[in-house]
Amino acid sequence: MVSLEGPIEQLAEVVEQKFAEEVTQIDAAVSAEVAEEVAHTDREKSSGFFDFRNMFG
Amino acid sequence: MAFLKARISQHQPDDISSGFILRDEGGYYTLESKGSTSLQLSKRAAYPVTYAHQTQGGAFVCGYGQYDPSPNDEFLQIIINPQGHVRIQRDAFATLPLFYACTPDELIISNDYGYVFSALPSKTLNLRGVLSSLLPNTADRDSLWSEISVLGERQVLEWFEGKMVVHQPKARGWSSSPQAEESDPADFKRILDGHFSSILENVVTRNSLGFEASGGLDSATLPLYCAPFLKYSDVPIFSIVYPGDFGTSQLEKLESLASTTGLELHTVFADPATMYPLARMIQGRAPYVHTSTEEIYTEPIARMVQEMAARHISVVGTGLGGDDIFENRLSSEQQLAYGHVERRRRRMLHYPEFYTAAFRAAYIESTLEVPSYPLPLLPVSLSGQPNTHNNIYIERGIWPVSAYADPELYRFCQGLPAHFRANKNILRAYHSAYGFPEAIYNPRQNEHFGPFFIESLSSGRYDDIIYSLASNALTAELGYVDLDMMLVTYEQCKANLADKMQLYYVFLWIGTEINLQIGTGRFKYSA
Repeated sequence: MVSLEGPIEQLAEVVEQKFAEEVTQIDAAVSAEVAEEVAHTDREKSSGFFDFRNMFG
Repeated sequence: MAFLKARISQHQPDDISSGFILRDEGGYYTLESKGSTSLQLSKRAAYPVTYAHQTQGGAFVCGYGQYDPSPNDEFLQIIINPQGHVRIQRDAFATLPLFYACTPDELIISNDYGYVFSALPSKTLNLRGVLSSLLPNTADRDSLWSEISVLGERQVLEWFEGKMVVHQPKARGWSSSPQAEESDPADFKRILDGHFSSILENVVTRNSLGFEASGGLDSATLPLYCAPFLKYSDVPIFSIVYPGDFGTSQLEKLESLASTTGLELHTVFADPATMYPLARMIQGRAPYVHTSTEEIYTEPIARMVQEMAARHISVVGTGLGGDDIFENRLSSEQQLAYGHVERRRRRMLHYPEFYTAAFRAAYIESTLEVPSYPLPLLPVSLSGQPNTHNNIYIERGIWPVSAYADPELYRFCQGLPAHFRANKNILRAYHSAYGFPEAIYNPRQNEHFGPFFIESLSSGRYDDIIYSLASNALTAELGYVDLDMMLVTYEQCKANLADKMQLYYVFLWIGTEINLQIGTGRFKYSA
């Protein structure tokens, strides 16, 4: 959990910056080919008849 | 007791205005008329509030949520005018399961499937319902009985003088993930924060709330977001903990969630000896199931809900839909299970050995040419099958609110590039940015219900009911199931001589037969 010490605006800014970095990392970690393949794969939450899905999501 | 039940007679169409009596007693609004019309709705002061009153024009109006709802509100509304015209309209969430049946004499509605079933003077077997009960699909809304239907999201039912019309809603404006308007991943945090803030303001701080958590990513997100804003710590977290290794790793995550949020943790141990799937049926305590798939988790959830009710929880925040909003769906045919795409899938499917060639042929043949309802505003898996789980909560006075059931959030997420949705990467990034516990967003292990289910079905506890049902099986008479093969499969699974995943199909068969045999008066099993 992010520390609640310090001005709230500053805290929010840190989280925003960290999130922007994470988004950049996701893009960087996936090649264009893989991104294309993922985009063309039908993927339902329950891919089969029985995935023993988590009770609460 | 049912949350809502009604039998509205077509006789004496003006009896509502002449002999209409509305009472408020014993925790229910009740409406009675000179004729045989009766309605009962549970009173609820917490979100979503229920109401019942008579308008100046003499119409009776009741329901839950806003009286004059906007499109994004959660609501159900029933209007009965003095001439006996009935109109039932509902929202995109359809949190309350709603079953209905129309006979020449009356309209029967309830969230309680057993109530509608019992009120019907006669039932006709719906073969499509039998097929989908033996091999369910998330898009199915079929019942085993032709007379019983489900009122789905945004549908409007009108009934007058014995004639019923169900108006379909407009399909959402985009049909597949690639068709959703493109979203910028950089906006995800702002959108999710805004959505959670709205839940925090409208639901969390105004009700006696609890959170339901499994230790997984989806259900942990809302309590982690809300915790710093809660001025008090009496918002507990409830969980069901699996036996064995899964329970150990699950408890580590839950304790991490509790210590990070500062919220009190209440756990219920999923006891394989008492909470095995369909235990209520096998112990002879409850005669009705709507779909057996919903019954897999009923026993442990009912126990947890008991704990919630004992602590006077009125709303529970859940993580349902956390997977669904990030799904990648390429066509409406796949989502709503119709047309040549679905027919091909059924042809290619690997069927359990004890389902006969006749079953396979009928299953393929029953593929819908056109969808039975339009694309919903939420994922089909959230709104296709009526979520009868919700009854377990609602009938104990607890309203489940999913952190992710929001049409705009769903549309936004569907517009994200697929690799941000895959593995829920964007949600994990959200957790990481906030510094939430890594054990939750980057887990070593994902616990699930599989071992509990397999152990339960292999335990021998189902022997008596299986052999009793098999002695009288309707699915065998229909030619859909080879009983000898089914019993061999069951025994081989118990003896570790066959793939235990087949026990899922045995389970589906048990649930289907219980329902069929009760419905046809041939159920002989007693505990």
